[in-house]
Amino acid sequence: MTHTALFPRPSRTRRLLSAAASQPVAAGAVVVLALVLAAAVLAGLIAQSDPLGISPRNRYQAPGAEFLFGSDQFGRDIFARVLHGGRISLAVGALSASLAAVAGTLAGLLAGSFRAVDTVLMRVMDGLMAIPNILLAVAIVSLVGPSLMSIVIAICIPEIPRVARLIRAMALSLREEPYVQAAIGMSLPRWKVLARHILPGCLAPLAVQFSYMFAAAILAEAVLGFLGVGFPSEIPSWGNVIAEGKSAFQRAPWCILFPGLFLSVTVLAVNVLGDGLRDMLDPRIAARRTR
Amino acid sequence: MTHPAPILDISGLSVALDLPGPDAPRVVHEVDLAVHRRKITCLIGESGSGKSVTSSAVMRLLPAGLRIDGGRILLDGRDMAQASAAELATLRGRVVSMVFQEPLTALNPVMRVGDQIGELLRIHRPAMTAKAREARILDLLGDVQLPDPPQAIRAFPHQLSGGQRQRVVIAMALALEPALIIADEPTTALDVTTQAQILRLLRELMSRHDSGVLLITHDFGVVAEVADFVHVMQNGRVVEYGAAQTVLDHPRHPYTKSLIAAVPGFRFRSPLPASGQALVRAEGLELTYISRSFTGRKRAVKALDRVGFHIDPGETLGVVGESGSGKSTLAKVLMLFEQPDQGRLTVFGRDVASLRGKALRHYRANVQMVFQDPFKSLNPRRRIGQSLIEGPLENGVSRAEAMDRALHLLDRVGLPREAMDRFPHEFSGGQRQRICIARALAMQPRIVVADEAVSALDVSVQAQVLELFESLKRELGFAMLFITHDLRVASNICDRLIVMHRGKVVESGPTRAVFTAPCHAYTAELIQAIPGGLTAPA
Repeated sequence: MTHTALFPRPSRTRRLLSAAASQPVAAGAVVVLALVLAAAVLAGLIAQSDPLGISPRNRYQAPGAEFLFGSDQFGRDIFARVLHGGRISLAVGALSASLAAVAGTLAGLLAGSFRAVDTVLMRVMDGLMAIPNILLAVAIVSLVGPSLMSIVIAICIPEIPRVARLIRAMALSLREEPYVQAAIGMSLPRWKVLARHILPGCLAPLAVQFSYMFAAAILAEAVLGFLGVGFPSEIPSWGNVIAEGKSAFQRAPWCILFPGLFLSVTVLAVNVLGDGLRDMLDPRIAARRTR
Repeated sequence: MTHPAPILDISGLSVALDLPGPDAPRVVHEVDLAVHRRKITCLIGESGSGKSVTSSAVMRLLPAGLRIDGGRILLDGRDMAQASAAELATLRGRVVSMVFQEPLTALNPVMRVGDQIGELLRIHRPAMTAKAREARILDLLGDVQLPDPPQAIRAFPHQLSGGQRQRVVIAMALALEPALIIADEPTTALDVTTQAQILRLLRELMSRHDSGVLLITHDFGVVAEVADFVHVMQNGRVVEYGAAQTVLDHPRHPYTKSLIAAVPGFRFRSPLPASGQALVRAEGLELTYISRSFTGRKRAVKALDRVGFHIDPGETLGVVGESGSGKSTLAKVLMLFEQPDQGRLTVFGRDVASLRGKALRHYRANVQMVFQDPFKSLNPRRRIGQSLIEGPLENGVSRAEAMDRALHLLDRVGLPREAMDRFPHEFSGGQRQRICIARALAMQPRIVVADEAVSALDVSVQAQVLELFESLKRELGFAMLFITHDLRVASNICDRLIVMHRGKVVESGPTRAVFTAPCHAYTAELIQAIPGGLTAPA
């Protein structure tokens, strides 16, 4: 006699579909993110022109048939630059947010459940928080040299203490919940109590924090580029394209309009998806929605 | 005696779910109700009966998703159902005010008590001088019999006890001399002795300030204690009303009858024959909580002070006492969540102080707990089945066997087998408590610790859960440590009692003996304070 045989549950795809139906906005966000991701991955096929190709003749062309999103001060095709830039920006955003979320959650859970670890770990976190983010990032990148990995790490480290504090606070309050006490009383090993009863309760605020970090990381990468420690300015990333176009904002607003648009739509989609995930992960809210 | 017009006159009040269309389901259906000056009108019913909705309709504080769907609410001659937002702002507080259930959350934690009352006066009586205001606040705090008003004025809510906080809330409710006070379960969160004091106070102040009280409660003891009139609500309708004594003595509606019958009377069990081998034996347990404030000042609270007791196999030992008396600490010590500073705790014939690792896990598997709040004691993200088999699986039981046990226990606690695949929020409080009991018993423990396990439940459900405990205990033969503040409940299920007061066991003995011939003054006081009094044992 198995659990599933007794009470058949709908198949995975069916459950996914019904989840999408109950969360149309979040499902829309998934579609938008998929489109942006596809555009970035297939950038070379969609945009025919070279994102690095300079043609001084075509400086500041307005959006039109030749340049879909216009061109910048070196006559480079902004459409191509935005699509190609998505690769770096999305990678930096997703990687650093995930890395920070994982490391921060781990630290937070440990600190929230072991007293001895708490004092040491959280003081280290306090120390990290005391260093200005950009300074730390500049130091790391100038030491290691700019590469995707070094930039991701530079951006994610200052975020770790924030996540750790959040998760630690959640863990401390969840630890007092009777159902967690009951689990300890049923002599579950510590890690199972953490994984089954405490971690799931932390996911809602974590999802919100993640979407925020994702957006912030894309912007931070741009700041690093602007300070000259990120990717060289000719390499397109959304941040770089915006930074380059900033000077010509009044003359050629399309230089920052389109990368800005991509950036905000992506960030918005991540945020909406985060909210949707939070609701879906909580059966209480999920039930209220379907009613 | 002439009957002046009532302060509150509700007629034909209906409240519906805020859905479009005329056929939205109603949660309150054509309720008629009146409150007179110097009289306490009780609105009694179980959770979900619509009593709180009715009272929030009077304040026009209906939760989102509900709307008034017809009827009149005449408050001192004005129809609250039609009042504009501006009118409401002046009426609330001045003509009608509210006392809430939870005195801790009803007060702003970061504002001094005096300032909170002063704020009300500043808004509604702008002409009042600061000096007059202070005098008035002192008056009010004196009125509600706070021990030291000049001190209390400067206190923050957390520095006061639950009873004192509720007194402050009442003082706030009285500040503007309202004609009507709505008290929503004002004493449910309080200890019995405090409850008796607060009810007496409410009665006295009401007469002095010439106001009427609408008291919402689920407790017939409270009705018997203070009510002049009573309205019984079931499923959004008033099924019976009348003078309190008449309704209590001669209930006509079957629902009222069943509610009154469900109030556990005092029923004493004959004690079990003493057995030689105690399952649990505690001697001289001491536990002191030391908290250090930011300035480094130490505060020590003796939660357990030389506590000794024993539990025989198959016996239910009741622990009664007020909040803060150390009852829950005792449970935690027995669960080995807390280490006593001193003393010996011998369970299953061995000293448990040094249990670590595997031995500790083995011990815990044999001692299971049922918690007070059924809404918090199940992980909201896990299906009932997962919760039920988790413990046994972890302790070496095969999956098939664990499933078998879970299904059998669901049958046993009276829930459908389909419950396995549902989430906790799909169940009512009583059902959840049954699930929690099933979860504890799935471990096949030798001792069950029930910490206020029926306190959060409606009386009729309470009776059922108590019965369930009883029959399961007969069938499975576990021993139980049953912690409660409710002496009626204790008398129904416990073989022996210990009475705790400020961390000390002040009295212990067979239940009947403790109730009928209390040796300690505190026990006598507890029994005195039971609302409705000690009814003759059946």
